[in-house]
Amino acid sequence: MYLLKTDAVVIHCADFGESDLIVTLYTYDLGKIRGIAKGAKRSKKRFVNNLQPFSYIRIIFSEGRGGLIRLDQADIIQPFFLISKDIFKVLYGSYFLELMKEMTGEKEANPQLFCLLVDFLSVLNDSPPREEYLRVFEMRVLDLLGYRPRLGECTICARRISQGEGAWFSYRHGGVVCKGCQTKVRGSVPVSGATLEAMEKALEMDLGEVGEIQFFPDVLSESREILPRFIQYQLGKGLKSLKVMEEIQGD
Amino acid sequence: MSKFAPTVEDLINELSKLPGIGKKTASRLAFHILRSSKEDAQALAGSILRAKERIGLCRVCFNIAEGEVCGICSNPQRDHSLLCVVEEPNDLMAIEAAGVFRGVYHVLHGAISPLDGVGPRQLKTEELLQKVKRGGITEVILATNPTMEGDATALYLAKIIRPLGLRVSRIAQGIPVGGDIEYVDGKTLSMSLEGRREM
Repeated sequence: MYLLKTDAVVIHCADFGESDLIVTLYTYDLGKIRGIAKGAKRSKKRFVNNLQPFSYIRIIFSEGRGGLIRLDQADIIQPFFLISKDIFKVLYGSYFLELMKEMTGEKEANPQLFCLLVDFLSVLNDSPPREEYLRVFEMRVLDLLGYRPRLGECTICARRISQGEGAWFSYRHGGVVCKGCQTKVRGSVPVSGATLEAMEKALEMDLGEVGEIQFFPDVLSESREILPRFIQYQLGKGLKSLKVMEEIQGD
Repeated sequence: MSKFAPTVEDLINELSKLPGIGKKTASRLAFHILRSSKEDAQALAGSILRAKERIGLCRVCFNIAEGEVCGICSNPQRDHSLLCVVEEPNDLMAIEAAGVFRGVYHVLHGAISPLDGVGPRQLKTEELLQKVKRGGITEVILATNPTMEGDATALYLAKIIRPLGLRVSRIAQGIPVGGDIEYVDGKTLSMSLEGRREM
């Protein structure tokens, strides 16, 4: 059996039978993959509890049957275990993982996306949880997967939206529409110039600065209204972790 | 065409619906039942039916119970001021089997799992909060699993119970008895060091 090696982040882990686990991983070399870890629930040496969500691991595996890889070993690179010590870190981290799970196809490698996920899990692990991380992550993921919203010009008439000028965001058109075109578009929501600037900045900023980022409350509220909804519009379905996040934040 | 008579095939299909039972094990069980006496087969069928008819959830702790209130909740010898919160009835049974806990329980029937869309409202958290608010409890022990889901559940419960002024604790996490430090993961070692005790 030919053994392969790659770095991966554990996205999801579920019991399979008495002692096996079915894991979903986002890997550097293969993108999203699903695999079976035989005997992982009892393993004290090969897996040592390294298959918990958020774990950044190095895996040794072989191609299996039915599209599932067969995991042979998993060694920890970074467990990001401080995420599990704060309920908001768990919620934000779960959202990152669900975006990777739902927005990527199996075996579609995207090393930049892998590095982005690892960087954001590091920020979440090491810094206090901030909702701003979600918005920056969303913009970066949309950009890397080719869904970057058009923010600088009207998606209908191509008129340039000047700096600081507000507009309307159309989910259907994948970006902003100007005041003149807004009447032709149903379901668009108003967006301020400050929010548009923050969304643009999220794409350009150095990731080393993400831990310090802070949006004004109205920018945070507008971007919260726009970005998760835009992603769900693109996916054509709701995101489970968002629902749980809203439920817990409401308590 | 099926390998066995339709009745046997049906029995195998039903048995293979049980957790951890594949087709092969189901066939083995089916042939064991066919070889056993009619009385044994009736006793097995009767036990399954009786369990389904008589067993429900205890209205106090939501453990599996025969009758309205389970044996633990109705026992005056137990310490009713000490409440241990577990994810599943199996966890309660494991703690009971250890024979070291004399308090009472609350079974959540799951754990918060954002990736599976399981939030607090799908669990028995509201019932826990009401129970705690009614008074008589001095400490809530969170005995959820040391997994991401168990951690999230414990953090959430601590967040909603602590403002009520009760002591909230979590069961210790660390190296298992008979374990080997060499093979213990970083998270577990870190927990063990954090939760160390003076000797």
